[in-house]
Amino acid sequence: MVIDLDRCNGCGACATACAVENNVPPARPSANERTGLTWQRVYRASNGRQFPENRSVYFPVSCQQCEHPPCVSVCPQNAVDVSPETGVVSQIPVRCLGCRYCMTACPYHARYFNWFDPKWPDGMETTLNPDVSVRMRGVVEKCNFCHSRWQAAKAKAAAAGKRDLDPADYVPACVEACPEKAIVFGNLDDPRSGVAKSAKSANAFRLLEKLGTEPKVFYRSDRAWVRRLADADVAVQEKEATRG
Amino acid sequence: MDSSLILRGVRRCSTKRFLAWLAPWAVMAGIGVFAIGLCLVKGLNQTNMDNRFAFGLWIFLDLAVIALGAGAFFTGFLLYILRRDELRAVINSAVVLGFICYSGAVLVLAVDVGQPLRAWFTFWHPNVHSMLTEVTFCITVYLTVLAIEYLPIVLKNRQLRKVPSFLVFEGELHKLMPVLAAVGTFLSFFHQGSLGGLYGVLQGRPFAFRDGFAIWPTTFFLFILSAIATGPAFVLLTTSIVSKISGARLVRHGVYELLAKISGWLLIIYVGLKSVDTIVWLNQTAPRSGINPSQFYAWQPFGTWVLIVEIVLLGLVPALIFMSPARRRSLPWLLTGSVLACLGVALNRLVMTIQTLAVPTLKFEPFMTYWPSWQEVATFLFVIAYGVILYSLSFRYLRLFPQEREMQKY
Amino acid sequence: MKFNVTRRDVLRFAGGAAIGTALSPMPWNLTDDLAIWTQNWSWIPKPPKGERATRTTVCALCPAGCPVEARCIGGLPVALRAANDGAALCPLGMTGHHLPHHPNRLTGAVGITRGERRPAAVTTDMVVRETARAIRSARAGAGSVVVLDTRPGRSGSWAWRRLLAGIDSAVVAAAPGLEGASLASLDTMLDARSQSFGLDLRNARTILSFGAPVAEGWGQLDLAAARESVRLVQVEPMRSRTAESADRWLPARPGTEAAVALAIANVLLAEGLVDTTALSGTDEFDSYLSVIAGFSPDRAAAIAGLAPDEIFATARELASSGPSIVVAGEQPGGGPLGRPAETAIFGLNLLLGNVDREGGIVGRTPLPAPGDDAPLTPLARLDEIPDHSVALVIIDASAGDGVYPWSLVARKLSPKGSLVVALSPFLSGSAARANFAVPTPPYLETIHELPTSFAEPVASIALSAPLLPTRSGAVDPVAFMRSIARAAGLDLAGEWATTESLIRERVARIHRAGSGTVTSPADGSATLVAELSTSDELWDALLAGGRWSAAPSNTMPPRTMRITGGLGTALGELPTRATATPRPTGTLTLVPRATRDTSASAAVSPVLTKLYQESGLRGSTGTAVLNPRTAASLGFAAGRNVRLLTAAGAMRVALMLDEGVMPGVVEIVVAPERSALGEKTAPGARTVLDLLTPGNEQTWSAVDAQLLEG
Repeated sequence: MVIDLDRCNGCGACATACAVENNVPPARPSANERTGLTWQRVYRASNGRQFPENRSVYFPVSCQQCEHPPCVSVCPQNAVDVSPETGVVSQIPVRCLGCRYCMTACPYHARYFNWFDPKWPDGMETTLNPDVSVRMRGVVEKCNFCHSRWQAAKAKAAAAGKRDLDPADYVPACVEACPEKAIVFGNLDDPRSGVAKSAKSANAFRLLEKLGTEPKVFYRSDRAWVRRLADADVAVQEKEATRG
Repeated sequence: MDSSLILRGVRRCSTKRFLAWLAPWAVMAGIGVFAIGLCLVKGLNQTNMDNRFAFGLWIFLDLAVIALGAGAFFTGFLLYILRRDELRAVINSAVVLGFICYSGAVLVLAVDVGQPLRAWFTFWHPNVHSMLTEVTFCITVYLTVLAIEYLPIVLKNRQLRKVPSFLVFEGELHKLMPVLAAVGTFLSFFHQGSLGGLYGVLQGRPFAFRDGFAIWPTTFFLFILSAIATGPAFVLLTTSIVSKISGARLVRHGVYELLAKISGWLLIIYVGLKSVDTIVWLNQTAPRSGINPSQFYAWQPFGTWVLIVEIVLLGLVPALIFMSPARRRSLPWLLTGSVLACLGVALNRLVMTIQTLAVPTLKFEPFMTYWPSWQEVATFLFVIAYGVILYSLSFRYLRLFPQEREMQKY
Repeated sequence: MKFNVTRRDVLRFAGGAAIGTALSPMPWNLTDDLAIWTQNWSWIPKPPKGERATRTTVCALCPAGCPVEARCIGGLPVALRAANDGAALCPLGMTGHHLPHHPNRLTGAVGITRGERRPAAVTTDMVVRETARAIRSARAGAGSVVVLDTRPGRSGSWAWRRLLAGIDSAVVAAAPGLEGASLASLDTMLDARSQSFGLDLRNARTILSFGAPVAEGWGQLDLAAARESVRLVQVEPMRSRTAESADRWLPARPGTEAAVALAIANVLLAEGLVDTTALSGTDEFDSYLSVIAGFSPDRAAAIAGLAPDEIFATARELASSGPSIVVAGEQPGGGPLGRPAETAIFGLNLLLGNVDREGGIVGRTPLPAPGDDAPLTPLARLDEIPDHSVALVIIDASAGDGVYPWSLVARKLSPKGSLVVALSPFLSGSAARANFAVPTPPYLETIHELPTSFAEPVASIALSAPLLPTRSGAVDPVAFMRSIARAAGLDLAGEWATTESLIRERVARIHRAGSGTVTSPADGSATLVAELSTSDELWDALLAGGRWSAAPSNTMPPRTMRITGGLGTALGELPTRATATPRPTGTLTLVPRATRDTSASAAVSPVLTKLYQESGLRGSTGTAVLNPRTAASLGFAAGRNVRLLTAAGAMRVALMLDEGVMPGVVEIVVAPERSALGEKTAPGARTVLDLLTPGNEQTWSAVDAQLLEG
């Protein structure tokens, strides 16, 4: 996946589409920025300059699907897995005991804990996506590049007697929902794919590359100050965010 | 009323006074039970933990009490393996303390996980690469060991002794003690280390991540060392506090001195290695992760003062106190040293748990702080109340300090 | 034989039983069951099962009317996405299927008493009786009757005008805070009696926008798609999404938009960049010139806090890179800029000869009326209605809602007694402020009509087909009108009894006229209406997601153009806030900040908490954002709760700091209220909008405010 930060305008369509696709419940009244479930979260960052030179950039951050995922080796009960076929890091919520060790291990804050029982307003359960089961309270969940869509594409290919799925059939919800076409999705291992070319382009980068996690989500921007936000060398903001 | 249960030859307060002493702790425990119930029934939204502070007060509590509980295994190791017989004077007390610390930690862990009913999955689908698997296995087994070690102490109670088969059983268990001590030592070394490894392996958290040897990051060894260094100090501290509260002399001063000496030497080694580790981490490990280490200490309340307090005031200072024979002869100095050493290990665990999570990794994420909810604090206090109550009962009815009887003659 | 059971036997039995049990599957199955139980708690919702199908409709949640493809399970929609290739829905649109299940949906008519936690259930008949009584007393002189239309141009809008035609004091007005309201100023300038106007944004090469959220789909412009061919200059005090994506951003101080526009006019005239032939037919030019003379680029730049060069450059760019268009927008949540500013801004189009030109302001014929040619209630602007004069307000929020301070309506109500009745699917937004709220079917439960949107260059219509059965209790707005007509003795001719039958009449008239085309959403193929033999065919094509568009009209009636819109020299009167220097210490300018997508609906999907509550992306409603320097000068730190004080009262708000905010300005986040997001709250509770007292020009895009401790 390659996300063009010069196209993203922070509309939040990806985050919304993700929640609808993956049956992520709406927030309880007492939930907040830190106890919510946002598999795809859009962060706003700025160049730190004063008005009117201040400019924003929006970073849509989901699970970065690391090649060396720090979350997999820490799980005490193999509830986190990397698919050898797709390279996608998957979370098995029914095996998770909710120790949250993986969350402390993830530098991208891409993992979310179900602090509350999942609850939709009465009747809204009929609008849930039938292909994704709802997670229970007390377990960790995260983006899996819309695993159910991958399965559906696989099934479609199998029904057609093909071994490989058609790339057009497997597009995660966030990619489909982006009105700016800022997210490009495809097979990074296929050098002819648009995503592989884009990931190798000059202004492509990954978040916290020096940690050695080798994410499979790339970002790109022609603005140098945006690319500099990828590394955590200097802190830029402080938010008094004590709870309780 | 309960005099028939009390050990012969020692003085204990009246039942009324004892109950009055227990009452406030019981209230504290009661509130804790209510808080635990809330967390289990309504879920962890009762806490102030969140996605960023996925670990909070409770994990700090677990790490701290397990470090302090190291006194149990290390005293056993010194007594049964290294044959330091002087330590027989405190071994029973150390075992009870260890049992309290470990059982308290396990109890809080059971509340802390989102799905306690699935806790056994770790045994069913273990991931052998996870430090947490190692911790879970070792702690479970070691808690069983501690329970077995605790059992003969209970069976030696005046009334229970009257059952002949108990006496036989107790005698058999006693023969087992060196074996259990050896098992306990092995397990403890591993899980104390693994608790440190828990943080040291966090490649994604430059504040916690450390280089290491083979599969073990340096925190693995530092946690063992800090735990065995403060374990004896904690035994020293609790013994003298119990002595003060009960008004009874419990052990000879020489025992205190020995504990302090052991603690002092280990502490100085720990401080030395911790300093080397800190220097390597700040100059090598962290910069390699793309982090300017000054950022670790850029946000209050976690300034560089934390590092200085941890290593110098709560590490070097107690070590120097314990290493000076003159200071060791003075109980007030010993107490000061013990308090500092125990606070030191607690601060280390607090920093590893909380500061690790507070420091932002993504540049566009803010520094965040966390303050526990009353439910978390009440659960924390429950463990303390539980410990005090169990220790009080053990002290009143069991022989925790073999030297107590003869000390009373003086 | 004699059994002799010893203690040893008992122990052996127990031991054997224990080992035997451990070796049997029982304990392991039990633990397994325990694990399965934790995975299948009965209170974990189960996704629906059923047959899969895809259906098409049109989104009715904002006037844009995007074609929607709905994935349905057992006939019920579970996912919505754009039906046309390459397009995408906004967060509001893609969660539209949640709205019929909104927790604050009205299930029956209610009576709302201020301060009561819960509304009281009443019957629709009772509301009809009360409304009829209010109409009768209005006719007897108790005051006037006003219908506030939150989605003008629909067949239902026409029906209100038809219903109240017999009442002298009645008017129908657009609800405040709707998109396109600024075009009313343009109508005044261009003397629009027989024609309305559209903005041909798609064919413009340069767009100068004063606050319009052009990058958020305003005016149905897909800026992302047009990025290569369109140059955008944005004048706006806030670093909005549009300001960020503009080629040039002029961060003019709040309330100084008119000064900037007049200074641009000054440059155009001084440098001879105006279209003299187009100007020849322009009235009020002398007073315009005298106003312009007072706005030299230097003076305007000083007022607006800009560099004079930026004004010069913008003026030259408008003239050189045509076709250009200048638009005055309504900031989402902030409402219109006010008539003088809008007139000054649209006046630039007259100077540049942008009227009746491709890529400029184009005339368009209106949609045919759905019914007979009987006289209709006049249209009015809410600000033209005298204060304290209205006895009955009917708010038709059945198709959407506006974001506006309630005081705009409250000040019109007669102190001698008044009634406010709202028609809305939800008990939030305008409906929560009414005395009675009548439930209407929401999006996807009934046919909704998407008439020509304000900016469209030609007339068009689309229909939002229902995908769900209407829930019992919901009242059709037209059926409600019929009941009122009966109860109040008003004449309402025609066969139509429901909204659907009324829309059918309109579609039949379109078919009868025989012009225009229907575009299918799936492949973009167009069918000529003339080729459709019956109006039912047109109806079916529209229900399948098609959009009918009129043929472009090339004949423009001759018109007089009034460049000051009748304001004369009053055009140059700026709000005192903009010109008074220095201002009293500690006085800040409060500017509402919102996103366009969710500001057209009284209720949004609870899942949008992802944007408003569970992440910091949009900020929750009532968050005050300050420049750190402003905050420091006032002694405030981030995260603190402060009191925000305006002429309308005070409110506790959370403080956020952001270097991107103009110094001296407080941006206040106007986001869906908690009730709009699905939380059960007392209806009609005060909102941040209530702090925004409209000024003399009925605008609330900037008001004076102070921040206080605590």
